[in-house]
Amino acid sequence: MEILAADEDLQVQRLLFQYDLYPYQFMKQGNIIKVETAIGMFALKQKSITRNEIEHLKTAYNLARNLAVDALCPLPTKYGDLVIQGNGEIGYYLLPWFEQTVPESDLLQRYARLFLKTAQMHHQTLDGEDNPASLYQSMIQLLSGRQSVWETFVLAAEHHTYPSPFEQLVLSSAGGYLSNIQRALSYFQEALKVDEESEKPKENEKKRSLRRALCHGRLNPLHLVIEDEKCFLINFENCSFGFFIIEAASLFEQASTVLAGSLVPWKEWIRVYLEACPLIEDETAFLFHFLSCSRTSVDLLENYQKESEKNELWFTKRWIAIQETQAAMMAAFQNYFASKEKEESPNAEKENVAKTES
Amino acid sequence: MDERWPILSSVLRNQFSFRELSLVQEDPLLIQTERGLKKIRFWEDEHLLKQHLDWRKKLLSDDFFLDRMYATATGSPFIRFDRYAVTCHDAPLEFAEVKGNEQIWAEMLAVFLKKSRGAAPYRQRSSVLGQAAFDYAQIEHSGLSGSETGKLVSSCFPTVRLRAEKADRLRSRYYSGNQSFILPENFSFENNRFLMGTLFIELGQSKPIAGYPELARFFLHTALEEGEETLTALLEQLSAKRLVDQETRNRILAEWYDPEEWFRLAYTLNPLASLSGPEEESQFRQIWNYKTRLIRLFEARFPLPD
Repeated sequence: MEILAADEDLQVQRLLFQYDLYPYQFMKQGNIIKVETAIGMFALKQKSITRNEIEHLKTAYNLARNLAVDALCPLPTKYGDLVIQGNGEIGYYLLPWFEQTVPESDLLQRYARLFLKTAQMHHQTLDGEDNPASLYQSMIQLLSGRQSVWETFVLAAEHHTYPSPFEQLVLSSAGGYLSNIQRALSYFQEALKVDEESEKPKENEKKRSLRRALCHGRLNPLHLVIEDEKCFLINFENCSFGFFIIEAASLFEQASTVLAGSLVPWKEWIRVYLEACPLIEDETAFLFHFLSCSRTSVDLLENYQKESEKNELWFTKRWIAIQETQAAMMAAFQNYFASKEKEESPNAEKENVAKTES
Repeated sequence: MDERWPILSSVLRNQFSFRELSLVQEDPLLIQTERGLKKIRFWEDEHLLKQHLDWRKKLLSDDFFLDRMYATATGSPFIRFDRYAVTCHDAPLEFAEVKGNEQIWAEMLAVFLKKSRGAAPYRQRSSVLGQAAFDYAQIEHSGLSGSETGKLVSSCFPTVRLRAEKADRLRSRYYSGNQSFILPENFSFENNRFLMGTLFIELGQSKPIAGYPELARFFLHTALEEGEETLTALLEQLSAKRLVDQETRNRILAEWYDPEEWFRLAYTLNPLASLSGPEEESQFRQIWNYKTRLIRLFEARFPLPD
């Protein structure tokens, strides 16, 4: 804890005047100031924020007030502002004070809560379906880019008389990764073709659609406030409505990168997310293709190519960790869907029997 | 107010979440609450209220406070009561001196000169020179120039002519424009208060007009009440901000060249006037001399661009 200088002290008092709060003590803790007043404790936060981002905050906090999202709302000033903005882009806002009971370093626990809160936010703010053609188009471009990185790397490695240990590792898994990309590309291209060819798809050709919901825009295990059983998402300044499955898929990808090499309870996290926010068929397919062509491996290949003095041991270890975590995540997804199918199939069989009998 | 006060106080209590509320003063309406003294304003013209809300938003700054409208429990900046929109504001009491706070005042003036811009209603001004010549001719024809005050009025007339001519010339270029420096009609810099080491600006609730006369009057008032040194320090701080454009410079100077004090003195010669000659005479001399020095001071700090 840090005591503030006299001019900072005066500035804090001026900010708190806008809440009609007269503190008897305040202390700096990182980028927040803990404020103690007769009516309770608060956190005053300083942040660089644009007017556009303040508008996004309003969207999120209106939803939070309607209990659609577990978000920690800034308290409005007596003039009704969510953020105090003066000169420049520095803004200040006040939050109720929470004593965090899960440390920032405990990423496993934080991710577990994050998956649940994200799923609840997506599900409770669902806002209809939309044609994902432009998203699929972007996915095709993205995947083609990744394919090209892989092919360039493989070609270069194959021309080396003695490929490095890292290159050998990559070559051994290239086949699987490239076929995943090919499969995903075919899926998105096929979906686009159906969409373009006819307004009314043929009997066995279903028009694709994905659902829209509020997306946080900066999901991160540190953007959570956890006090015992209470848990809130924070930092909504980049939120917007969009295809939530992109955010969900990105969150799984982020967790697999951050936690590469750790023992991750994928089974539990997948169950938590998918039970709180059940997916429709196209969303499941999107999630699967997105994750099977992970960006993490491509990033590592690019970094390896850029490095002039390569630390072979580090790259090799990192590659193995990423591959293992990724494989565990994909296996957990496959198991989840297989067991779901199993759970549903006896009912389906019974229904079929009933139909035949009638 | 007496009959409606119980209802109004209850509405204020509920809408602005005051636990304690008592009446301090009726006009303007001041209330004491557990969160301090508050001023209640009544707006008949909602368009003007909207204009004032936007105006305050434009002027928001880290450097000073504004008398912003409190948000109600539902987030609205006013409540409806009778035929009025009622707003609630802070009402600090400490008088804001310029002396010793020149930098803070200069910061505030700089923000106002930069951001308090808009269309000031067009005001037809008669020629100051024409008016001065007419008044002087009247005095001469009616034989009122024989008294001590009359002699003073007559002896000053050649300078009055020059000053009036200059005031007319400086103003003539700026009869219209929608980016003028504006202030509320009833605004006075002396109404500003001091709060937590900075200024609290009371923007009030009157319609916008060109702000140059009030700014010129404020500078003169500061020189008269707080000394020339204070004004010099304030102008130096303001000059460093480089926000006084040519229009501002010329229109402030025009206010000082305008021999308003001479018109007042000439008016005391009228046998029907209730003003006392000797008192006006001493005030005239003081303002006349200060204005002369002020013009020199201001022109030195804010020279015309080459």
